Amino acid sequence: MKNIMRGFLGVLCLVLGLGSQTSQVLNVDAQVNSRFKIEINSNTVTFTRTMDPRIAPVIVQNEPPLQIRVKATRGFFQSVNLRIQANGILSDGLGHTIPIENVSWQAAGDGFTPNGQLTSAAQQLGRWSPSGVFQGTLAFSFQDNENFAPGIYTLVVTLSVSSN
Amino acid sequence: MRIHKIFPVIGAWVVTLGLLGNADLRGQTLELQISPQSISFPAADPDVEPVIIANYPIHVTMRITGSAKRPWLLTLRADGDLIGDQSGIETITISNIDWTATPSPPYQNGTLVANVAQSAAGGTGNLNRAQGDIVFRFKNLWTHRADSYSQTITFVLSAL
Repeated sequence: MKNIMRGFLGVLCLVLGLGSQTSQVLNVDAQVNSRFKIEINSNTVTFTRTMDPRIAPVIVQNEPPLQIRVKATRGFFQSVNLRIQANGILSDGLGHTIPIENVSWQAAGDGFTPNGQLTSAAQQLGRWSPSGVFQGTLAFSFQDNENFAPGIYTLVVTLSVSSN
Repeated sequence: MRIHKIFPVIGAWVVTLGLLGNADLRGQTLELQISPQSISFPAADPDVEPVIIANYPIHVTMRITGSAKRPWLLTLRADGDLIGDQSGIETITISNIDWTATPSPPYQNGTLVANVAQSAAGGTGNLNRAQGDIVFRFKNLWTHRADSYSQTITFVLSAL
C-alpha cells in the first residue's frame, strides 16, 4: 500500500506538470552612447581688493563656492575626466596683466582634485571610473600683490569633461 | 518480492498513460504570434528622455482552442541581462526595461527580470485571435555605460 501511494503521488505530479505551451522570441537592442555634460550654478566669480595686499595677500571669491555637477556616460575601459584651463591671462584691457598662476582653486567632492593653480594648460579637476552623476564644489582665490595696478581684470576659465 | 515492489510503479505509469490519452490536452491548440520580432531603443540624452520608448510596439495575437474553462497564461522571460555587444562584458540590468500592455484585462503591465518569467496576460477558456499591444520602455540612466546592448525575450503562452 505504501508503494502504491508513492506511485500515485508520482503520477499526480507528472500530470499537473503537463500542459500545452507555445513560444516566440523577441530580439531587443539598446544603444547607449558616450555622453558628457557639466552643470554649474553660476558662470561668474569676482574678487575685490578691500585691504592692503601686504595685510590681506589672499582674496577669496565674493560668491559662495560654485556647485559643479558632472554627468557622464563613458565607454568600455574609459574614465571620466574633468579639466580646468585658463584661456589667456588676467587683463584689464589697458595693458596691465596679472599672471594666471595668481588664481588658485579649491574643490570638494568625491573624485575632485582638492586644489590647484590655474595655468594655460588643462589640469585635472576631477576623475571618475564609472558612468554616473558626480557633484562637488569649486571655489577660487586670488593671490594679491601690491605691485598689481588697480583696475578691473578679467579672465575666462574653461571647464571640460571627456573620457579617455 | 521484487515484483511485488515494482508492480505499483508499473501500474502507476499505466494509469498515467491512460490519463494522458483521455486528457483534454490532446485536443488543445495554442497559437502565439508577435510582430515585429525585433525592437530597439535608440540612444538619447538621459536628461531629455529619462525613459526611452521602443521603436515599435509589439502586436500580440493569441488563439486557444479546446481549452474550455482552463486557465491560460502569457509570460515574458528575459533570457538574461542586456549584454554589451562591443565589450562582451558590459551589462545593464534587464529590469531597466518594463512594459505597458493593453487591453487590460487580460493584459497587464510588468517589468522584466532576468531568467524569470513574468506574467503579461492571463485568463481562462478559449481565445479566438485575441489581440493586444505591448510597449517596452527602457530606463535611460547616466550610470549606463556606452555600448550596443542586446538580449532576447521569450514570450510563452501556456494553458493547463
